[in-house]
Amino acid sequence: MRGLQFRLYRFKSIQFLIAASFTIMTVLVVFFVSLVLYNKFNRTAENNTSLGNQQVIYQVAANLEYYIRSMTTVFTSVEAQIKSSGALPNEMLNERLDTIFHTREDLVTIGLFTETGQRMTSLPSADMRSNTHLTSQNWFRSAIENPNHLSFSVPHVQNLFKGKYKWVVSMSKGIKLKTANGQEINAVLLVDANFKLIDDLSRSVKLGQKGYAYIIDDSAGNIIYHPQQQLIYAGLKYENVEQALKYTYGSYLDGSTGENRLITIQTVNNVGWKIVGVSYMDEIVTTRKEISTFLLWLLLFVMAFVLLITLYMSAKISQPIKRLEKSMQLVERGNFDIHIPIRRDDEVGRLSRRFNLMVNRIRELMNQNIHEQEAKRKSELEVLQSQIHPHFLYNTLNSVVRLAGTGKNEDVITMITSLSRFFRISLSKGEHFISVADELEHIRNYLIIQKMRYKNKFEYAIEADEEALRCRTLKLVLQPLVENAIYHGIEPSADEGFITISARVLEGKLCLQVKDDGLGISPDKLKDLLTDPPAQHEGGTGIGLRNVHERIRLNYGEEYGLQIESEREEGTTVSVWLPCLQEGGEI
Amino acid sequence: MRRYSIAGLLGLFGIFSLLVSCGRGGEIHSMPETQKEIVLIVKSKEGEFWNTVKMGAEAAATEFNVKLIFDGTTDEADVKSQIDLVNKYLAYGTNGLILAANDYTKLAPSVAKADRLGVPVVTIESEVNSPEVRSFIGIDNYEAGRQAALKMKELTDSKGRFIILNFVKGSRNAEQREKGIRDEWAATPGMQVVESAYCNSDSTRCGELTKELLDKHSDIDGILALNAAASIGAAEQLRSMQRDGEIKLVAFDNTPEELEWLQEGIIQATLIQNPFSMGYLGVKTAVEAMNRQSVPKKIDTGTKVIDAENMFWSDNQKMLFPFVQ
Repeated sequence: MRGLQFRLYRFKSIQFLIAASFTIMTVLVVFFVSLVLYNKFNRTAENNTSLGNQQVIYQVAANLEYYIRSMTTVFTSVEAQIKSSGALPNEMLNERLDTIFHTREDLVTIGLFTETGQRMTSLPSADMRSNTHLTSQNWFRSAIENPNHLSFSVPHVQNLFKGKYKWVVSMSKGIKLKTANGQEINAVLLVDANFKLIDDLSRSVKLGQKGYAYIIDDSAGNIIYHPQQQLIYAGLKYENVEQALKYTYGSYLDGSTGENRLITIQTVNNVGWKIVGVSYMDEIVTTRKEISTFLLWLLLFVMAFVLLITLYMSAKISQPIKRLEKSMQLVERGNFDIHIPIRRDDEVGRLSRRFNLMVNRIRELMNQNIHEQEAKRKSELEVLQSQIHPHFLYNTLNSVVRLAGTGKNEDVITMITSLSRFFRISLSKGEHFISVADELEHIRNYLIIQKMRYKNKFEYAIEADEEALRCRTLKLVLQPLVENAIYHGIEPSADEGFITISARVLEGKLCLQVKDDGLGISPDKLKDLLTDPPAQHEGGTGIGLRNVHERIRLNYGEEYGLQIESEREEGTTVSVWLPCLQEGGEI
Repeated sequence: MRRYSIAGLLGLFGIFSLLVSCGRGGEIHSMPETQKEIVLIVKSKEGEFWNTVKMGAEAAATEFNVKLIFDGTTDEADVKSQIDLVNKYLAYGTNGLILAANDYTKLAPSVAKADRLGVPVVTIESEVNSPEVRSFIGIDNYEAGRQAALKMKELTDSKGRFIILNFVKGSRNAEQREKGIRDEWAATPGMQVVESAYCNSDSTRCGELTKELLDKHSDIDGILALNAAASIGAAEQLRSMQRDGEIKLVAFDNTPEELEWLQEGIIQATLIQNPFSMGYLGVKTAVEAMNRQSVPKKIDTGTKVIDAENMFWSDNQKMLFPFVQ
């Protein structure tokens, strides 16, 4: 419960609000900046890869084109040699062709065949193999079908001559030749170039770590060269050739093989081949991952940093407010003796100063109020005291009438004299303080009257120290006590009572005592007698005792007042404790 | 309060610039080379077949970004050397092992040891009798035997007497191939196996054995040579005896010599495997096993019957002549 309250308090604090909002704002800003940077980087990386690939592929295509042009030149010169020479077989032609054949080490075969596939001349001049299917080979067929047109075959294994099987690209053309007897016949000229050069060229293409390049035939979409040819034939790999065929050059993203790949295409002129570069997007993703982890760390770092800064700043801002709040809490609990030290001259400093002024003012007002209240109370009590029981006067006068009626003139005189003395001391020239001697005289007259009224139902004695007599006292403190003793102690009792009034100085204090041997007071009643609120005492106004008690305390302080001891059937002793102030002394 | 925010912003700016400069410094030595290593141990370091396997393995190594170490014995029958090789590479510490085992049972403890060390083992071409082998990649030798038998049946009109020229006695591949042949012919009474002999993968010995057998049995219609050495020995012998064409020869594998004789008509047909796929799939499967992915227990790379007719078909060319020369 406490923890929860504490937490709620924390969440509702200004410090939290400042820290949280500032942190969230900063983190959001950094996050968005990171996001924008990341996207920008991403796009740049992709563009760079695409551009790089295009350049590489363009370069390969240019090299290939150059190579093919040079091969075409070779082919043309071979053709020229054959055409310029006489009828076949021709020794000189063979020598010339041999020279050409040996200047280029990438030439595998130069061959001249009749329409029916008979060898007219060839280099190397080795024996031909059986089962060559020469006339059904692609290069032968295309030469027959399109005479006078130089056609390039796809790479294949040349199987014409004994010796090693070599991968070649065949250039072939259908030409017309004159034989020795002047007849014109159709022939096929074949020049085979070793495919190794093209293979090496393509194999050396590296696009990223895993990327590669392959070559397709523009017309049929056959794969001419692929570094993982076997995988494609074994069905372990798939290339989306149809898509690549649609482009002449350029690049696009392809996901048909399950992986995101960047495909770059460039067409090789003359032969109708296309070079297709493949690079894997996940390699870009690797660098992308690096960047994102970097940005994540940045974000975390900034968050921690901003949190620290804002915690510090918000604490700085909210601490004076918190101090102010604590001080206000103390005031709320009634402590007005507070002064907040003012540290800075900012809003909170000014607020603190105003608060200090306010608390001071409240303190002054409170003190003033207390004084006013006390004064008012005193005067009220005095008014009460001075309204000396009309009832008593009425009763006394009744008794006097009765005494006069029965002719007891002496008693009448005693009573009237006592009454007059009683009132003289009661008034005592408006003085609030009188000597103990006067107070005792006053009570004696009262007792005389009451004794006569109650027909000697009680006896009394008044004792006083010399020292006590010289002291001054608040007037009329004893009369209510004696009245109580008579009304509540003696009158209800069947026996004759005895009241002792004494005045002594004890331990530097004046002690006036009224002691009776009447009924006594019950313990539960006793403990309420001096305390508020005024309970309804049976048969009494209840004002008397408390009135005296309060008057003493208001005038002399908390340590003075009444003290009541009582026991049932034994009697009651009421002690009045007063400061012992000598005659002439003032409060 | 303004003082503080300005100070805070300044501090923030300072830290930012610090961070940026730090990041730039760090990027230089980023991209650490954490390539995993795979060892490929084959039966023979030389020879067309194993070189093609190596090519396939290298293609896969590039694609899956692993380091490939290629090694093997010089003699296909040298089991002890191969066990030593396996132990050597296990001692060096490798992440994966691809093995073309020289023996079906004797390599099993080596495989178990590798598995204990946490090195997944993938076998290619020849199986090893061990449950710890994650995957076998190769042809179904029984099925290959049946295909060879079927081709021979076609060549000889379902009738004749035949010799089976096998390679190593006790070799699982050899037994499976022969079993395939015999099972295929079981329902055809015309096809008779006169004798089956072993010439231990030595082409000279195979040639001699061919002569001995042909002298012993006069009326032989065909020979089934169940590996490259047997095929070369038999073909050479038939040519020198000038009985090529008369006695049909169905061979295995695609060495340059065999291809030449195939075109010349000494060999009527040959069964080729796909060694490139074996190498490629071997590495691919080993990488998957290393990454704790589940891998198939057996991958069949398939076989193909090649004869003089179809050997220069565009697709077959690339299978038969893997190297550009």
